[in-house]
Amino acid sequence: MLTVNKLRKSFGGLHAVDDVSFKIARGKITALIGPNGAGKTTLFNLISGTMKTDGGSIMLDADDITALSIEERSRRGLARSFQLSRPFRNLTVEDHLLLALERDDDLFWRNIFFKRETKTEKHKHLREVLDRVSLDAPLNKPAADLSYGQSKLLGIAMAMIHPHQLMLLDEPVAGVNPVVRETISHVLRKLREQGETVFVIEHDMEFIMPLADEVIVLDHGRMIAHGTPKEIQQDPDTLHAYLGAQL
Amino acid sequence: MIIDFIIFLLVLFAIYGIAGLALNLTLGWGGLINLGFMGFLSIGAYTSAILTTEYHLPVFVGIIAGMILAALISGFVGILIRTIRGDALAIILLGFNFTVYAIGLNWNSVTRGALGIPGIPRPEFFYDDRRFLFLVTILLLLTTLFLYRLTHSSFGRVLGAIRDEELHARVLGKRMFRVKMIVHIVSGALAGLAGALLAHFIRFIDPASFFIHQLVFVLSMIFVGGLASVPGTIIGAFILTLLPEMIRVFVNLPSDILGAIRGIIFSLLLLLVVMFRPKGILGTVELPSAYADRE
Repeated sequence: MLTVNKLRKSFGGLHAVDDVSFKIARGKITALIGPNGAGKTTLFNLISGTMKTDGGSIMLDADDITALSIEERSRRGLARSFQLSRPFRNLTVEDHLLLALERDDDLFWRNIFFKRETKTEKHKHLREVLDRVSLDAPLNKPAADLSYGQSKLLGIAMAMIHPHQLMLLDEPVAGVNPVVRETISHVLRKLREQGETVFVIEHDMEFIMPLADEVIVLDHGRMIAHGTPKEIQQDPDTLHAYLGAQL
Repeated sequence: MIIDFIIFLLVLFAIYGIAGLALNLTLGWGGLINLGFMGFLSIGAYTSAILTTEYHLPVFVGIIAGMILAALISGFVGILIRTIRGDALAIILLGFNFTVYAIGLNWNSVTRGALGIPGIPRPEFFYDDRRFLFLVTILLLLTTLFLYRLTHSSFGRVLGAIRDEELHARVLGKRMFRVKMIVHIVSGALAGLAGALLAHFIRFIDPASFFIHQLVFVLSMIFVGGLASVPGTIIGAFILTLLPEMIRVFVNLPSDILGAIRGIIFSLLLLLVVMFRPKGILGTVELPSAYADRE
């Protein structure tokens, strides 16, 4: 599904991502872990195109997407939620979901003169998605009025509803309360059952280890381990770099 | 006659209403601080004035040519948005205003420089003020309907998303550059329309007609009426066009201080809005300073 080959990114003398290569298999949840500053979010930024690479390649199935714009990668099937939830401050929950759902809504003539919106059907679909992430908020609620946890859930709902092949989730449970954490855990389990491919950055080991099929470990920009959660928990490099004796 | 004066004011209101909607499209809905706006108004006015006085083309041909040229140049300036953002873009667009002003002042063989262009004709059927009012009212209504449709469509939603959080909108696959270019072109065309109508109504233009102080006037309309609001823009245009004239009529002030009084009124209104109602009377988004902080 996703093949990352010898990917590099430096900021001055700091190698944020250093010669990283891995493959993500279709229909699995792959976790990306590592200490603070390991380069996890930079790697996500390189994959989603919000940062340019210094070298290496990124393949989505057979397509090389390394040189594609952010927009084009999204349209090829990359859906992403952000670590810091960033709702569009003047738009409603409904607007957010429709933005994620619709593909050609940025076309001028078609949308202004030739398109008729069938709101009832769409509302039903949007409500279903909100129910799947247990977000109990009216569709017409301004997104700026959502709590932090609700914003996180909205971000995941947007990634789910966005037409995609691969979901990139950046620390979905960071800073949320235990109820929302459990909800997101349930959502991820459901996604796995449905055969979705999910690549997720997560700091919370208790949360991610039971959910992940595979785990990639980054440290100082380098990939130091890649395997099943059980293998990672016994990997000496990983234990030394990050996990400690707690696992 | 008082009725003639009222008709005169209503025509100005309709023309500035169109101008306000054009600027609000880039500023309120697009989040683009378009300080070059008066330049596009000026291009529309000069193009139509020159084509109808020098080349004796029909007025409607002149107006349409003014719209097209203003739209094209606005689109060309919009190319800058691919690489330049925020304060730098605002300063470049402000510089564009001064460039257009300097061209109008110094290209004597075409624009007649500081002498301006007199005797700009009106359309035959809309020769008197009442008929001209009918014309501009129809055009204001059409512009209002078009802007309402645009901003309530899914394209308008994408525009709002790009304004609020550009990177996130792009991650959702929204083609930011294309959307901003379209908004620049549409806003430029409407600014050209307003400029051309003003030229044919007043029947005289000179470079000072479109100097930077006029931008403060149109900006005040939007901030008072409300950013990203069609009815707000219309209300803002109504208040700002009529208020200074009411003061002129009902308070007997010497004519040499009227301009200064007008500036003081606009400044006071802007201050009051910023302090007590940052979204304006009917605005739907906050003032652009909120965006500048996040760039």
